[in-house]
Amino acid sequence: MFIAKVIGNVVATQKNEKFCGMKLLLIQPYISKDGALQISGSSVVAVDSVGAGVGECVLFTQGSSARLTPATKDAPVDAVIVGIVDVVEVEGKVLEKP
Amino acid sequence: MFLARIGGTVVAAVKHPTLEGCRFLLAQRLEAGGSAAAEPIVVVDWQGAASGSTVMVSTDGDIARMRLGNTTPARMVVVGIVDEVRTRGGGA
Amino acid sequence: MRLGIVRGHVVLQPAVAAYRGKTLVVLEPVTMENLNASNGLGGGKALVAVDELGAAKGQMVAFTEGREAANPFWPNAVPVDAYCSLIVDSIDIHSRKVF
Repeated sequence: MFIAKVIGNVVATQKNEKFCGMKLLLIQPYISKDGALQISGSSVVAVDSVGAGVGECVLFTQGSSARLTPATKDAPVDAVIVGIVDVVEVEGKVLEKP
Repeated sequence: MFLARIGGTVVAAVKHPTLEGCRFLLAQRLEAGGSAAAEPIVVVDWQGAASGSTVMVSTDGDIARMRLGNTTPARMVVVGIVDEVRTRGGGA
Repeated sequence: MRLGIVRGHVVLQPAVAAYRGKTLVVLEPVTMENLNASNGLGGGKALVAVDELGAAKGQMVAFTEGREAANPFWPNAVPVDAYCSLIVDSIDIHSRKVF
């Protein structure tokens, strides 16, 4: 799993029918590096299963494991937000959320 | 599946219960040219691979699941010990 | 499985119901160069994994990635893509103890 910041909402009227009713968010992954959370890699479209909003820091799961939530079961989903990050602690220091 | 070279052995007393009794080897994925990946991997071995062996590793967890049960997190398994790889323009 | 050093932890609030009670650790994957050098450094891109073994900060673990990382929770569906499978005690490379 990776930490990410929610940077936008994705709206698609025409989509695979299994996506109907799902909230799609654009997220930017961050990794813990040199004592801070730093942008890492490309942005990802993820299904929200916890009620996350733009600006929040979240944890997301990728790959076929992303289908293992009630919200994403049986849908062609490869990224799902599994929680909103409250605290990230690395080497005894609480990292500032992006 | 991919090719990997066995570099050594990994010992772990605390592990997922389904992995009890498994043999763990340290391996490095090989590229066609013979170069090795920067990050090593730990693989489960039932073939008897030795340090220095070139092996085939499967990333399909079903092999481990059949042997260790549905709840095993094991995924990368040695499925063969490679005698020789022939590629166009010479062996790897 | 890759190797990672436990560097910290993550707390989620809220989280999907299936995550309740699960410990999330921050892992720094270990490169062959750092392993060979026995320098205690990782060098890989940090990630978050579920830990049920009680791995402590600074310990090295081997972690499973992908769908198999959710197998330990079978038959329950828990959206996990990284799971600590072993706490590593020692690693020998060509009969030399590197960890």
